[in-house]
Amino acid sequence: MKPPKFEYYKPATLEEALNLLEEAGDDGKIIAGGQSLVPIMNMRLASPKCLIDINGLEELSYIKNEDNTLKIGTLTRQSDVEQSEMVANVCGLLAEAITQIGHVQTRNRGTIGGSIVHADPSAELPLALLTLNGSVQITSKDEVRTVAAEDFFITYLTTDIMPTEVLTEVTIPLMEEKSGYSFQEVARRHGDFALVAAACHMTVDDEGIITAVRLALGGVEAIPLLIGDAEDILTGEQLSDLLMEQVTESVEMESDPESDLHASSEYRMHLAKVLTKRVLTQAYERARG
Amino acid sequence: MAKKIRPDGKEKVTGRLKYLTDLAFSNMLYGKILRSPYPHARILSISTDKARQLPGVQAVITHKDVPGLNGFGIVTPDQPVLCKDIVRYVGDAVAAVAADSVETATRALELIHVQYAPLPVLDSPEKALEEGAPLLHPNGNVLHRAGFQKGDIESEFAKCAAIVEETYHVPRQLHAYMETEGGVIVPEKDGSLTVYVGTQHGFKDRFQLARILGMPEEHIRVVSSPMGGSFGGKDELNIQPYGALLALSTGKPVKIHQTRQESIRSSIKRHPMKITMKTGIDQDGRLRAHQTTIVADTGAYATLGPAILDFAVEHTSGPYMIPAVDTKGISVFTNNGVSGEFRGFGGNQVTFALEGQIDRLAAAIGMDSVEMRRLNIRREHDLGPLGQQIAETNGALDVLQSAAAVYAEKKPSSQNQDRWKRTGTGMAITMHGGGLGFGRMDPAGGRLSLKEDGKIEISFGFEEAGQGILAVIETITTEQLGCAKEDISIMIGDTSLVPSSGSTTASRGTSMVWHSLQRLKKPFLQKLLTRAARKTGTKEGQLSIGPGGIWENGECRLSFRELASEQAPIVISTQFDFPVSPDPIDSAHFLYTYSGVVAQVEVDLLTGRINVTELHQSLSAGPVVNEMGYLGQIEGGGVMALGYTLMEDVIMADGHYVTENLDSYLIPGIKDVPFNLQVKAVESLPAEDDYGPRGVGEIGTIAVAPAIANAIYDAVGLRVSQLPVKPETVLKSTEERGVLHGSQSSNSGGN
Amino acid sequence: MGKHEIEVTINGKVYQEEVEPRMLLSDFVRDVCGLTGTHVGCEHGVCGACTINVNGSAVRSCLMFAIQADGQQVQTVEGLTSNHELTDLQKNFIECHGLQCGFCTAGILMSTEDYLEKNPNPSSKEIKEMLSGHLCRCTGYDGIVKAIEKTIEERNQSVLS
Repeated sequence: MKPPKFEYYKPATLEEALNLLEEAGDDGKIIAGGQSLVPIMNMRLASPKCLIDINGLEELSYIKNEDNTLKIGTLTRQSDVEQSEMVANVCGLLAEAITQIGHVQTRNRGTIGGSIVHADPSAELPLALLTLNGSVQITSKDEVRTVAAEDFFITYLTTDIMPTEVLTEVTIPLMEEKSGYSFQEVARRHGDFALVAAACHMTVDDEGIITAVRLALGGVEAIPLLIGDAEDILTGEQLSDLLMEQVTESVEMESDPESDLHASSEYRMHLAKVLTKRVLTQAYERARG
Repeated sequence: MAKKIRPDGKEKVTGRLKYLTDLAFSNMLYGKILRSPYPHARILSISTDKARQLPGVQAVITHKDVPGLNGFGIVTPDQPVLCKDIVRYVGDAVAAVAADSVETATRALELIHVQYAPLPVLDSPEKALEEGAPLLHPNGNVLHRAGFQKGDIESEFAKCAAIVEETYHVPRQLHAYMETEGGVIVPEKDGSLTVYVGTQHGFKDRFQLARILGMPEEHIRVVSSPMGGSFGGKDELNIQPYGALLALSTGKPVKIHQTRQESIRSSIKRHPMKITMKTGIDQDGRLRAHQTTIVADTGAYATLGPAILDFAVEHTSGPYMIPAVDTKGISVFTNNGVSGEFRGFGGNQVTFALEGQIDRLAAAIGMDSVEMRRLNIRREHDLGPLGQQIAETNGALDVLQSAAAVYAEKKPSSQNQDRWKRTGTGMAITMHGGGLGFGRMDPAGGRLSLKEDGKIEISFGFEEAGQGILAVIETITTEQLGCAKEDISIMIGDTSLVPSSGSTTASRGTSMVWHSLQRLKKPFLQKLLTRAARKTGTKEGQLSIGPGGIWENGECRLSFRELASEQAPIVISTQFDFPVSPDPIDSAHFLYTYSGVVAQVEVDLLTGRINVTELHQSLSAGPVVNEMGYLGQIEGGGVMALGYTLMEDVIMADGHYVTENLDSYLIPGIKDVPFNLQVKAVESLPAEDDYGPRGVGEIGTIAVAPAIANAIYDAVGLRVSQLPVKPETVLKSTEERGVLHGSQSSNSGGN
Repeated sequence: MGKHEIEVTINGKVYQEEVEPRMLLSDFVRDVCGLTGTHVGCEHGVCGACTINVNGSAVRSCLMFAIQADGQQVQTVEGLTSNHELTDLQKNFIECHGLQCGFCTAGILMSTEDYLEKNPNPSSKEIKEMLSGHLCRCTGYDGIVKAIEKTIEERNQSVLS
């Protein structure tokens, strides 16, 4: 099956892209790497009438460390982030998450912004962004606004972005010293969408007391899910079995995974708890060095 | 063992090889097939007017346009080419279109209006067998019954110290050949038709197409090779009839290449089966009674369903000598996808059940499972499983010994270093019949020619699907004749150019090539030498065949080109039948191969995930012809079976496919494959054996699932009775039995 | 809006063609340019059979529209060989039996060549990571890994000597 007909535009500048988007209205759809969009178009699960290809906007492809904030242009290929030594040095969680997206060949084409805007609840980048307390810069003809990851994901495959807007940049506040992270997922087969994914970022003082922690899960809700209770339970404490048990209770309360042909809701819930313990443990161990 | 490379390797790594779906012809049209949206419905009307009016559409065909028999099926042509009144599954074809592009053809399908009245859907054999269930075919919903009885089952059960009864469920497996069905059908100027579509038996396709098209077979040429994989799946007709009808109706070449989704919807699959086995063992560890019921979901149409059930029945007691056997099998029509030919042919399903029984029985009487197998295994002179004489070899014991040696090394299973993981080892053995079996037409044959250009042409009616028949032909021919590979040319897969050799199925190819050469070699060489003697004026006795030509005293006297020049080609043909048992027992096999498999798994107690870490396969199939080809068949077969065991299942709900594509139907990727993959060939045959090398196309897939299942039991104590083994099942079982708590200690969540 | 004219350089040859925007790059390469060495196995990015090199990166050609390759440099399996001389990787695929039906082979070769160019000395784990983007139904992958490892070894030796 091949996609139905559509019109195609390849703007040379962001301004041009924004103009095209405005003209197209609800019929318009941005294509960047296309690694999520083209499969669903080939299967005719999506049929945008007008594709605006932003692959020509090279100004949107960059990785910068400014004011202790990691800034990544939306068009940056996932493989570029994967190969960036700077990212590996300053944002291990992102580096670890990236390697688990699809395969080498899809990361060569897939972009940072594309995966985040696609907003699959089990995808790696939305989860990493949420865990790292990142935000996205959204540009329209009228304004540039910044939305925190926590507010960006609305529901399954749906974000705060409007049809006339483009996600232009991803920003991530950088780790402090003595911080640790972990990103783990379980998929039916390597490289497939995760059944459940978990990510954790944590800072710890010299005594092993947790000073800050963010824990999030993918694949257990319609959006990547921040387990807010984890912060309350763990901050000011050393990690223990008892506390982890409390966190998994919160995970159980807040998650509502669905059943599909790959896994039942119960199994996903079980994995959510197992992965929660795994990422907490690993992040803690790494933070303590 | 010669380590010879494949003759088709170079063309494949350069992309120069033209698969039949790569072909293009001028004025070529593209065909699409409209299939039923309902698993079971009455067709009220079909309107094709709008589709016909779409610019670019050149033909729209329905049942009215089938000139000959509107049906296909290798044995029973019960599947309509184009349905008229009733559709019986979602792969049933109702219309087909030829247009100037794939897009136009796709659009035209949307414009064909078919009115259906849905009928009750029989989505399981149980429903289909219910009293009052609608009849899917004139003779009812039972495609075939088969059975085998020997001994007094009840009195043997009475002698048993332990009896194990279990019901095993095995899934619908997709062949998942990388190249989906397709090719081009070309109407020739002389009114004949050339069908460039991959299949495993070109002559059979030609026979079936002639019947459908109402055309003499001689007017149809089937070019059937090469293929991007088949594994049994392209044995039955698939898109050929539609391409042929469209090509004839438009007078233009028509290409059809199914998308993966179309392929999954319409292709045959491995039979899902429900197998209940009740097996008894006496206190000395001797198997005494073995009672089996097999219920196979054969889907909407017959294809080779009956033969597959017969095969399953024959292999129900495997390589064991059991005094009382009572097997009953039933193959049932449903509104599910059609089940049919697939590597292993019913053996995989029953072997999974049987070898599960063996391990359970050994545990029940507290006996070592290897010892128990040894005690019950068939010996060289024992009769075959249906009481027939078979080619005598010690293969069963050979592979058991070989596997047992590996198994002993792996035992006892050690606690994994990671305390959240458990390691386990399991083994299984099997025997597998080659050829089609007694009472079935199973002709073979080949031809050797010295062509005018000096090439020795060896031809067979076989197809290259990746299995390596070309390498087998090259190796056997050069070894038997004594010439070099540069001296020969191989001709296969074209009904206009090759002799009939029977089907490229049932592990026949290697065996039949060898047998053909045994028959062809002597008269062919004799003719060459006689001519050479005449040409050189040397005595025949002093000449021999060697690389490049005719040799005398260590020198090449005459090249094949010189030998061939200015004279008529030398042609020698042979026709014979696949060897069968002297005992006239229907469907019984004669040439068997044997395998012993040892698998090691690592089970993650926290996620239930199973990782196969080692897979050792020992085979007895006579001498190895081509080492790399042999390895490839066994390793590849093993990994395919690993998928069958752990992840593969074409799920259907209410007669509709739930798994529609390769994103939801999972086949093993590299990370699912054991790091340690070992193949050991036990090549010895009795001195008096004159059946040569046996084919190994199927044997590598048979005993892997039970070996993995037994390893899972060893690791975590779960008795597997259903494939694929899902992590959830493992987890549930370990949780229920407290395996996890046994290993839980003070702190963290592990990792 | 109908067809667009595009210009794609494939294996050094410029192809100027009119295409509909919806035409996949895989179909363009196969059906328009006649380079049938690239195969399609699933057309939704799972199997990897259609992998080709676009502007120096191995990508799935079924997940790109031909129009997106306008002005770009593409290499397909046909472009690996110059003057009928096989590359070391191609030779090793034959010698190590890294293929059977051969339908997935072109994609694997294209991925591997690109990967080895960027990572000349990958670990066994990295090779598997790279190969995890390709499905092969015939081989069980063993011969494929051996062929790649042999190539790396030989390239390292030739660097040393």
